[in-house]
Amino acid sequence: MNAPGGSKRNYADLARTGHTHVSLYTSPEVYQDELERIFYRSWIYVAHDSEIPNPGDYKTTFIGEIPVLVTRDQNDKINVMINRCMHRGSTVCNSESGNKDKFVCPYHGWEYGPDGELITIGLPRGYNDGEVDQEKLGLVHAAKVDSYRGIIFASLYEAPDITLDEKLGNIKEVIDLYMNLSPTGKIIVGKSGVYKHPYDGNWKIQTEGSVEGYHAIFTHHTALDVMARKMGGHLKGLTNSGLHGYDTGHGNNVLEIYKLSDEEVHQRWPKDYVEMLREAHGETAAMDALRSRFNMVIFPNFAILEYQFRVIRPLSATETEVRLYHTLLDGVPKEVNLRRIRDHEFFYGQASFGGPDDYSIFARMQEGYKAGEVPWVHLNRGVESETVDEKGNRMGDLTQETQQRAPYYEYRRLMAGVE
Amino acid sequence: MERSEAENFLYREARLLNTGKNREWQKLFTSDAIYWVPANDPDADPEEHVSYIYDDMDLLEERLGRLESDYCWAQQPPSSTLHQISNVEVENDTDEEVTLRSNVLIYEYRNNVQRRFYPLQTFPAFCEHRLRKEGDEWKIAFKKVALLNCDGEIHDLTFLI
Repeated sequence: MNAPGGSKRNYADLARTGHTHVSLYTSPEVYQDELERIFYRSWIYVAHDSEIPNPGDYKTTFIGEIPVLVTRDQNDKINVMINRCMHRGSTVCNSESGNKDKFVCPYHGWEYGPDGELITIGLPRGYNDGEVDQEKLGLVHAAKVDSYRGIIFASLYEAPDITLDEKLGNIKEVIDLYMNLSPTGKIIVGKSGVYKHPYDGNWKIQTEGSVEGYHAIFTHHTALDVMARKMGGHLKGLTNSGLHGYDTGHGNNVLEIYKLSDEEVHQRWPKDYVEMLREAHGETAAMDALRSRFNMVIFPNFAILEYQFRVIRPLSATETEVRLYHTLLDGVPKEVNLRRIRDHEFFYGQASFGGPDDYSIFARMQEGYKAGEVPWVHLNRGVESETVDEKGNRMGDLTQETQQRAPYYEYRRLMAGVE
Repeated sequence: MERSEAENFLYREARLLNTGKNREWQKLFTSDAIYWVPANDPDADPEEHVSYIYDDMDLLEERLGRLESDYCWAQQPPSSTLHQISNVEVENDTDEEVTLRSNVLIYEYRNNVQRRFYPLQTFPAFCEHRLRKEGDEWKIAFKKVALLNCDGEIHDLTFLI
């Protein structure tokens, strides 16, 4: 499945367990290899069902640097297609989302249906017989598209060597916990807001940073101070033990942020909401969803945090855009979603009390990485004490770096063909 | 309220922001005020949509405390701002309440960034102030700043807007 060409770097040696080479964060050649071997040939998050609920709905996004169009066609099928007219290459859609029955290229009037089929071309009589084969000139579809709980992934140029089910593995049950916060098991992604956040740093800094259990009490001093006073006891987990980071396989990982007792669940959430979840999912599943807060990364470009879907878009070796799509829970009392809005904007977003500190530090890290002869970035905290839990996940303490090491096993597999 | 009086009020607010007198600026607000900077859509309902800032006065107090602390990494070095006010209009004028609409062009700059040529940033915005009379003084009961690029890619808005 390796891409043709690319650099001859020994990625197995550059992406060691516990140490990553600084060139992985700075080199334009490494970045090109990552696009070809990871972003264009493995499972990449593209959208959530709720963003395109009706036939004709579409959104535009990117896989790596490539513009793609995600549509729901008249047969209710999800299509992930390269947003590129087959004639001369213009994108056929340049708005972020909407509903259309056709996508018209502005250059020569070639029209494509929501399923990508080429419906008509401009001034067709100028073509002689055999010069244009309309049936073969539909938009280029991703090689593979699949979804889990409405979360849509695609692999662009080739089918991955593992199914989505294998790719997600043990992290599926963590996704289930998140979806169980809604009595219908459904969430609505992005309708309630999207923060669009560029930063001056390599994309992997955000992949690692989305599950950073070590930094919170140093970086987020101001936010934690307010949260401890205003929001109460559940934050003690940030400094106490009993919380873990997990490597669930294929680069995916989970960081537990807190686990509430039954009593704390009742303090935190209104009674009617707790009851609603109990009725929908049963006592155990409901309380497990309510008590657990975690950040999870689905390698390489996707994370789910308490109030958000986080999508990482690489722009170059040293520039990245992150989008934070707020999530609403379907079927819950208005006050629950309202709290999720206020809590989200307290910590995330460009004017918030948390996120901006992270992004300012990401830029400082990237600055430090200019010292190319200081070769190693350390992610080896807790590597010696790491254990394996009963489900087969690598496991370490919350503030150790098991979860941040997790991507590099998959990185080696995709970049070098070895784990 | 005459437009000249409205302008004087807004100019004074801008001067407090631009000279770092955050605590004097805070005193311009009523105790039940809202300070709002919408995200994505300036007309979205803030109870159904996330904002950049949706502060009641408790949260504004925390925001100012954060800016004063040694741990607000996103404000190291701190922003300097210049709020340029124009297009002032006075609406719904009564003796007790008045709505002011204005345009503001906020310039934001940070001196002494070691590593980069920090670009001078500009944030054009539509402002709405709802003022209420408290005693002899007009106070801000509601301030909304709708950035022209509120749906765009933005690096940082940790300064006062």
